[in-house]
Amino acid sequence: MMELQIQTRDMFAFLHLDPRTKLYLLIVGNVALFLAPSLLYEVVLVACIVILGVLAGAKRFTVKMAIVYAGMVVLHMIGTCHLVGTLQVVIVTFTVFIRKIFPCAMLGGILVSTTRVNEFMAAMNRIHMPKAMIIPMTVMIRYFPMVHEDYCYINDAMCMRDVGPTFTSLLTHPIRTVECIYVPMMMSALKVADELSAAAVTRGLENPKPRTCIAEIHFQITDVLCGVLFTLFLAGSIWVKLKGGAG
Amino acid sequence: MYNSQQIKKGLSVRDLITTGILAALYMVCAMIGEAIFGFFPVLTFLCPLSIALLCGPVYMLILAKIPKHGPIIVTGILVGGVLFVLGMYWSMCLAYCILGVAADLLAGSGKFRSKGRNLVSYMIFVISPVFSYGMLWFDRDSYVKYLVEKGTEPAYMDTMVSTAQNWMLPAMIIGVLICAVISGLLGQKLLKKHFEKAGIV
Repeated sequence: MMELQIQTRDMFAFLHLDPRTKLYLLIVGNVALFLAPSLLYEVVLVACIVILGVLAGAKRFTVKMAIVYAGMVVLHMIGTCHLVGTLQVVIVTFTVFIRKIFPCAMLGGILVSTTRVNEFMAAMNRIHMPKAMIIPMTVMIRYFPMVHEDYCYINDAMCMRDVGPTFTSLLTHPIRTVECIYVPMMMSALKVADELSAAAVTRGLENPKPRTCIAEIHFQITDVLCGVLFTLFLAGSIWVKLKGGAG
Repeated sequence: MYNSQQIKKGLSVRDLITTGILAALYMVCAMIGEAIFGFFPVLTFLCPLSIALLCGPVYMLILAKIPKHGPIIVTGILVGGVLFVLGMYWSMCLAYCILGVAADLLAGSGKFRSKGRNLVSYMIFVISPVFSYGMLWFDRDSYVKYLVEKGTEPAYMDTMVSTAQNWMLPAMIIGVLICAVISGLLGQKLLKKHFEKAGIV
């Protein structure tokens, strides 16, 4: 299980949030973005997310995402002000779609990469999530990076046997290429599942008693601050929406 | 191999872990499907088709590996949840949860062994991505208003809205169903050819 964990840099993190707060922030941030009344509002929200990301320790990821977002906003501005006709419609539609999706992906990425597996499971236990949800969720989050790794190995093996997944082979032998990717991929997934469940059962995951955790999970003042900040944001967007609807 | 007693007991830890891993694989396939067309503005409407085309084998593997009630529901909720975290529209995430339950019940009515019912259950499950584009139709007025306010010519918008969008929703659903049949059949064939022979499922 250790190999599946994403590296976290705790020593640079000023902000250590409770996983439950993170879940709350995600939901509130998502809804707020969905209701976002103006571009300015969105930019301020993203600025908050960036600050949160830097404080929580996921610096490189946050900065990268922020640059892409800034580029997107600039593209949007250019699209609305300086272009005409079909090109404008295409670009504005595209940037509006992306802008609705991007900040949430950013928030999600920051929060997932700064959460440890055991903390996450403890917090999920605390909010009485059923075991049938917690276990697949944890496994899933940690298996994502492995999929890419597996694919690289499969790719190497395929190139060695001259059935490499290139564009031409996809056109000339579509079925064979697809088969050569899917079958090893699913085989290795099943093998990992077997190994993981053996490891998990050995460590007592089937124990019906409540789970204990060495890392303490409790709310701190920073949790309250972040929660209140994002809730205010949401309230603001609803208020603007209602006012706009009445007037 | 499962005997009847184990089926009655419900999902074991082993089943849950397998579900989690296969759900991750499903998610990756769906994301690749999204990435193929998602970056091009107009072709974005083809996303549900490519998703339907890619996910079939994994779905069939879930059904074959864990022939019980539950894994498809869990997969639906997980995929919907992750997509929600990634900022997709809530309508799509809700659709994944609800259609997951429907697909699970349908596949269960054939004891998860009936090929036809498994195929239909996949066709139901994979319609969910269409719902994210459904927002364009349900909430069209505000979308159009937004674009017009930003300076798009109203005449152009009118023609685009009235001609393209009305036939596109049914066309998209039909396209998804066709892709789902192709992908599901391919998945079942792969399972028969490789996994059943090796005694894995």
